[in-house]
Amino acid sequence: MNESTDENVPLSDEKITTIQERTLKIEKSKLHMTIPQGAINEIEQVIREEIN
Amino acid sequence: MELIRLRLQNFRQFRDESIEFARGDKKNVTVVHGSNGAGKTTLLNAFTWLFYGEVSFDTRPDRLVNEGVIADASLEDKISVVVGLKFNHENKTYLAKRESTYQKQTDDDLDGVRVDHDVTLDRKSGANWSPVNNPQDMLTQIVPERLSELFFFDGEDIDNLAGIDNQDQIRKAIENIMGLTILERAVKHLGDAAKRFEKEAGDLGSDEYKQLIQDKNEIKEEAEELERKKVDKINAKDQLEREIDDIKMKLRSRPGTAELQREREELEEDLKEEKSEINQLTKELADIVGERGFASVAVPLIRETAEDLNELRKEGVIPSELSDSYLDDLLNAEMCLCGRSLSDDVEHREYRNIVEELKGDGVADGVEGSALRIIHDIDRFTEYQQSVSKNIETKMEERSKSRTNKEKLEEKISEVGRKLESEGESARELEDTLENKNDERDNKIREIQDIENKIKTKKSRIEDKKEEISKKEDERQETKLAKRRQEGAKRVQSTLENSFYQLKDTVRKMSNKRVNEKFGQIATKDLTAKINQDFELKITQTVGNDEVEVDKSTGERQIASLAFIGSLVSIARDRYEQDTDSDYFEGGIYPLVMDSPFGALDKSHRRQISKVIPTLANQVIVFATDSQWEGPVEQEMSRRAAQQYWLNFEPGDGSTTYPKTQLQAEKLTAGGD
Repeated sequence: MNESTDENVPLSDEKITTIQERTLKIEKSKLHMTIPQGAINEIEQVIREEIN
Repeated sequence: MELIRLRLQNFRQFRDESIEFARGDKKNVTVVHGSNGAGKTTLLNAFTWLFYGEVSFDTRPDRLVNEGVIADASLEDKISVVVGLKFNHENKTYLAKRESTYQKQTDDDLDGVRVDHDVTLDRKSGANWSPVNNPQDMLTQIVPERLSELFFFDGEDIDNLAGIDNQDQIRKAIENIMGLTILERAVKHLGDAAKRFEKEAGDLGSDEYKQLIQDKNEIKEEAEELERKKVDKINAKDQLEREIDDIKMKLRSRPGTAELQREREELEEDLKEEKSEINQLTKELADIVGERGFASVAVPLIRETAEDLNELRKEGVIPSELSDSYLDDLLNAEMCLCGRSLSDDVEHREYRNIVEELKGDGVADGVEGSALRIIHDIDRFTEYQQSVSKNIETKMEERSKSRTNKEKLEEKISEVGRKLESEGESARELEDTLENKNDERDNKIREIQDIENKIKTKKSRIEDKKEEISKKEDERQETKLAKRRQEGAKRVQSTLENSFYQLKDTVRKMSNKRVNEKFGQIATKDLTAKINQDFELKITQTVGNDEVEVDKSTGERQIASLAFIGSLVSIARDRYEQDTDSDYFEGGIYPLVMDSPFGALDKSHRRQISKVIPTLANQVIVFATDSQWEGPVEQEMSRRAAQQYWLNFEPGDGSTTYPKTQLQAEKLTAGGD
């Protein structure tokens, strides 16, 4: 479910938790890499998908 | 992860050899015996080559292919160098294989050139084996490379882990294994994502909004540059302090200057206390003036006002009767001072009523009552002022006394310095150097303070800009969305940052407890190993009521390092077995592969370490020379060893025969040192 675009409505805790879980999943999948390439792009994409 | 079998083909001096690893609950140790140069370090390198494609050899580091095989090969022949490992991981069996193919370039070329390379990983499913996609990624996930030095380690270097230069390695190892790295990276990357959204909002927003963001980022960059400068200055100051300590040590150890130096250090200690006392008194004075200093200014004003009021009262200007008659005069005149009519007609009745109501007690309470209270309270204000003044006077007297003491101490210290200078040329040189270093150090401290003030100002300006940005409304939908996404990234970042600090503290306490327990099991002296607040491994001793850090002998450093590694392995294993749902803290089961872990230890330490090593991990593989093995190590470890191999090394003559090592499960009489 997408977040409301009304900027007066605060971001819900559920939405924040979802972004957090997806972010940690990305980092975990790249933990073996000395330089976790692409992590910022993927996190940015997650936030775009969750808040639009 | 559980190791089953390692196979080496044409890998350095190994033609085609295999090792089966001990996998029992109690008998979990595999011992590989071999003299120096027989191939123990090559075996350790076989693991790192298989997992990460990396080796570290002291001699001929580029020669991976077996010399005998390449010498016998023709120029057309292709020679395969293979390391294969069968292992269990998370209830599945795997077969990993790294293979490099070499061709010789000339008849006497013993290095060859690599013409092909491949890594494969097969997973067993039922009776069949199937290849795993991205085998290299999977292998580095099973045993992360950054942890490899902990699980495949060279005992010759292990004592360095507790040395001053390797504390960063300890911190990284703890952070990695405990899930802190995931959180740390997530916090950083979310911050970067938030910056991108902020830029996006700026690009889409008005010129004014864009300018605000640009201004804020410029100040932020300046603050970051100052932070970097501060770190450099702190490092330089620390270096100077180390040099100052060295000079003091030299002065303490010289026969002619030892007593004087001790005297000076005592005086310096007193001076430090006196300076601290002065600072404390200055702070207290500032607090008194800040909180109660108004009394000194306010009381004379209050007194003056009270005296004026009293005068007016005596003259009959203030009393309520006068006020009432004054109001009566106004009513009689039907005209207020403000110009309004106070006539009794309908139009002005309302104003007349208000003025009539003002007459009587209300006015007396409001004006005369207040005047009487002020006159009455003046004594109380005066007492308060006197008590504040007294307090300030006392503190100033104390501070003045401390300043005199400080000056006396400084004079005594210079006197001792002069005496030290008269103790010969070299003492004078040391004194000069010490004075210069002290000056340089003091300058650095001032510079650091100056930078800190600048950083504070910058930070305050950043906050101001942030507030301006957040207040800036922009009508465009895209800008609003970008700002909202930035806010989302920042909120998650903040939550994870809190988790990071909480977990860091938990992990430090946990590591500290385990390291101390393991170290206590091994160490023979009355010493304690601990992980301090900065994640540094320290060995301390209790002297009286104090705990002091001790200079570590090689043996103790090695024990502390082993205790540390064992603690990490056991925490990771416990965590894995607890099967928690954490997103970032899973743990794992790791074997320990140790090359010569008994290197520099005396017999007593060897025995203690031998008792503990089998308990450090589920599976332990130890490489040792016969001289390291014989005696206490053999007595303690042989009952835990289910597999033992001996490296039978033949050096060859280098022209017709070449170095060759065979692995034998039976001990040969010629083996060992």
